Amino acid sequence: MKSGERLRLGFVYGLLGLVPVFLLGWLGYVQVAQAGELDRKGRAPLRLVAATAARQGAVVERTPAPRGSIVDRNGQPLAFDRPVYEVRAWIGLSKKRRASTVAMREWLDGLARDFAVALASDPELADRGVARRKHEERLRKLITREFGMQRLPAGDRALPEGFPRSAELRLAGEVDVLPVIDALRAIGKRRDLRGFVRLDFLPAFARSYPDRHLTYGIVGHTVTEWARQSSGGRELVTFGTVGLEAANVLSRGVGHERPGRRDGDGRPYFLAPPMLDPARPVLHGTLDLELQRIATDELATQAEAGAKVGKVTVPKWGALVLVEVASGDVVAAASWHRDVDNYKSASFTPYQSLFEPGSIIKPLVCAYALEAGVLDWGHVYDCRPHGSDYRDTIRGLGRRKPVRDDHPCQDLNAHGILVNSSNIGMSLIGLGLAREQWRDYMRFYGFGEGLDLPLPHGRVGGWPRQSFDPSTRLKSFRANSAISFSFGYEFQVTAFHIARAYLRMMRGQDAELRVCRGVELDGKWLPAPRLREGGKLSPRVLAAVRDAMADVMSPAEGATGRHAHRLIAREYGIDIHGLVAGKTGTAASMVGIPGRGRVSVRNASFVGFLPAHAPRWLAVCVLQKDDSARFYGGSYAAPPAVRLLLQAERLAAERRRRQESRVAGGQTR
Amino acid sequence: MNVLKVFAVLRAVSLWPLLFAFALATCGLMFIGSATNDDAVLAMQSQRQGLFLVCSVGLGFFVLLPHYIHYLRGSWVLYGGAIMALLGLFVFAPEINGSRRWYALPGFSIQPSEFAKLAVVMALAALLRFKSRARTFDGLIVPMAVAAVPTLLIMRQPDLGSSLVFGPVLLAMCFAAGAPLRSILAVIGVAVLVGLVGYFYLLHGYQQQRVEVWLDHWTWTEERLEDAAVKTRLRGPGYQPWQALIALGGGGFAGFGLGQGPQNRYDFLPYRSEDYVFAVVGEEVGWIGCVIVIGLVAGLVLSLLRLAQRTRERFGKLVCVGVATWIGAQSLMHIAVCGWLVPATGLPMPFVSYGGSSMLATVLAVALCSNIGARREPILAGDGFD
Repeated sequence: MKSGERLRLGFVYGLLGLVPVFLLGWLGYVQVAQAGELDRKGRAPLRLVAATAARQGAVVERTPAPRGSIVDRNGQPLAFDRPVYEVRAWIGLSKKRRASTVAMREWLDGLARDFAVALASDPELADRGVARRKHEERLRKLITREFGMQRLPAGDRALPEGFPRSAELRLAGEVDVLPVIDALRAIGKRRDLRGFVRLDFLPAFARSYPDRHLTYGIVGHTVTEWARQSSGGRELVTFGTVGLEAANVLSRGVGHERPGRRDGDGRPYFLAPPMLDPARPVLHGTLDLELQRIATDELATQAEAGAKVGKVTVPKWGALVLVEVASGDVVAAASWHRDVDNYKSASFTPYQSLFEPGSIIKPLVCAYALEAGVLDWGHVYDCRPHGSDYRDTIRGLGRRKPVRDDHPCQDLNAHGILVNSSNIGMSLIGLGLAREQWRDYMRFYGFGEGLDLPLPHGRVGGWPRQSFDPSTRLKSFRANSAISFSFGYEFQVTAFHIARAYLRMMRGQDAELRVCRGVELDGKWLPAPRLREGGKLSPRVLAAVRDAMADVMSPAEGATGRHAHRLIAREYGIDIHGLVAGKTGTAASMVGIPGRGRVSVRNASFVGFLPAHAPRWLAVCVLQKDDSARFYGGSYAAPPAVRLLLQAERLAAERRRRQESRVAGGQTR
Repeated sequence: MNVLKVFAVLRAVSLWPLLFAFALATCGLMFIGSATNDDAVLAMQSQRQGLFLVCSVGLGFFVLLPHYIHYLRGSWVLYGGAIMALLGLFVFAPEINGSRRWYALPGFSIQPSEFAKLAVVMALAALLRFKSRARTFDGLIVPMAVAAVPTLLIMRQPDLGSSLVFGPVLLAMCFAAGAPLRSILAVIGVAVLVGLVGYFYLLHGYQQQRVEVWLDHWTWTEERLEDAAVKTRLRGPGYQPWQALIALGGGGFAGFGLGQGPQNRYDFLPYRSEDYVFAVVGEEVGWIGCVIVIGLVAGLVLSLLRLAQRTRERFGKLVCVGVATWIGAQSLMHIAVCGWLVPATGLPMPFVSYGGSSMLATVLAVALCSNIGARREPILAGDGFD
């Protein structure tokens, strides 16, 4: 070989030799000298180690957290988390199916049909055919969206570039029925789908509500949504929107991490179920599930019975509340709506439906006036519509709208006014209160104020702005607001407001309703504040009002609760006079109803407590009709409330006996 | 050819290229097995690769027997066949992963671009064996065109990695053929110009993205890995080279052990038996393993160049230089891709990566070089050889 050629080949050797030497040097630097770290000037080095790989490939999905339980006052579960499967399917398109959009559509349709059949294979479903059709429709939409099929050009052609060739679908969120799981697994194992369909059964939680129809409003419900994280990702967040579910204590811990990895094609696979929180909070509600069932049944039965009276339609809505007087605990709160199938989306009437209370307010006015010293309990008022008191006092103020009584009244003292529910008499008592006293009255009973309950979306109610506007002339206030306030008009309340007002009348102005008795958090019992007493009415005032309310429930002619007395005597053989104290109310109002404009509505209401002279239970019942048919508190609202009071007392007595037998026998029977 | 002559040829064959090639192929079988052991779909690859090796060695044996000058005569036929095969891909080959590189046959597939490399080496050697052709720039135009045609066809498949191998082969063969330095620089200039034009007009969008993410990754730090933009790139065009880089870096001095690399085991490393097999080497046997594998490649290349040095006949000399450059350049590019020293592109490592066409083409090329090495008599020209 000539020297020139040798030199040339040597040059080629050298050049080729330099590259591997450089590569070996670089690899030695990265792998040995830097031990997997690439230096970055003045900044943190880039770590090329197994941990970096694991982090890059790690899939962490936040699952909805188990939120803890809600139990009633006897420990009965009202809401809890149960383990379920969330089923996801990875679907990949084979080359053959990608070659023909028609074949692809057919295959995907068939897959949706197979999944729907599997999901509807719950033997306890009432109509599996309907369920299958619904699932199929939903899954078809899902597949169409995920594969972008709505954008596919018409005709049979190969799948164009840019269209997904695989997709991951969430088939179902709360699968816990064995036949459904088996049917889905069978699809996952089909030979013809191997490599193209993979099913993942991911452990998750679902909220369970036993006796759901009883607890929609007070227990509420949760919503699980994808929420954007601050770091840019998304996570599933569960939160309560209404009722006790919205309590902050149940929302702690936004979710659990479900660890997993991502394979080379970016498909996630999960390694472990989400971690369970060993100390989930338990919220002890005040509700008594048994009484709640009774309240719900009583209210629904009474409301639906309204349809049988002549041409009259059933009421529009109703509310029935039972409160334990000693603690202020709401032990039952029933809600009823006409023409509502889904109670989840309907308002919960006890604290979300406003109404003008009418005559059930009268004992509160009398108690306040008596305590304030503006009412002489023995003073006799001329309650005739054409009597001298009416002409001189009421008409003399220039009131345009006359004050009427449903039945004619004569001369009555405060006791008689309450028993006969005389609006004229109450107006005369109310006119004894100054404007400041009326404002104080509202404050004392908590009207126009929030309920201080952990229940979102509660209505506050109140009165028109001009009622207590200083610019409103005193004479105008007396002629309109003072008289209307006296028999429960010109301001709005909820059933809970009425219950709280009577609770305050009996237990003092700081008394509040409770819907939560306490929380078990991390094994510690954290009780809710006990009922506070302060600014109490004097015993003589309470006794006077109680006596009058007891006589309301007498069989005497003129007593507005006589219908309820008669009914209960017939049904149970019990004379409730002296046992149950109460006050009936019937108010005619104008309210705005969507689609119908302003319509005249009638509110039948009742407040009662039992026993009459040492109240343990307090019940409030309201039913509202949106027509002008005859509809009275005494005949429609009182019976379910009285029945509920009696049942509450009966159950309490039974439980007391059970408790005593346990102590005596040393064991549970 | 009688048996005595066969023995005479076999006795004259230099063992070193064969030993190095065999050692590399054994490494390949080992690492392909390690990379695919846990994978239900790819588990057969190591067995298939073993079969490819046996078949290739069998065919290589027959390549050793005739005098290589017969291959000189068939160089252009082979080149023409390779071009036709590359053209036929656009019509007959199915689309796999967005490209048309393979003829699908029952049970296996053929990648003509691997054989085109050998065909181009032989065609260039046949062309440049005349000194006068190499000495002027004009004389280099035809060799450039010979290399450019398959390069462009392969680029259109698209298979950028394979097409890039032709550049170093052309340069090395021209240089070895006696082309003056200025002609070589002119060829490099033309190549750079074509490369620049090609980047903007010939490369696909995803290939440009690979270049962009490669340029960007030099600025990455631990903190920047958390950026949404970087994360997106790591899930997209940067995924494969990033996983390979982690595998190499994580391997350290001695590696995790065969079959123990987390990148390999947990399926993070894509195409780990083919385009990223060297990352498996780096992860599982560490730097020491890399030194050994690169040493084996260097040994093979040097032994082929040694054959070139000892061959006086220009066609044989240039074929040896071409094959050595092809195997060396392709191996080094594969390693550079695994270490993300160059933008990501799919390129198998000769003898080590899984692939029947690659194995057969490289074994035939080494067999041809061994044939050349076994014939030391001066060749004047023309016929007279059997």
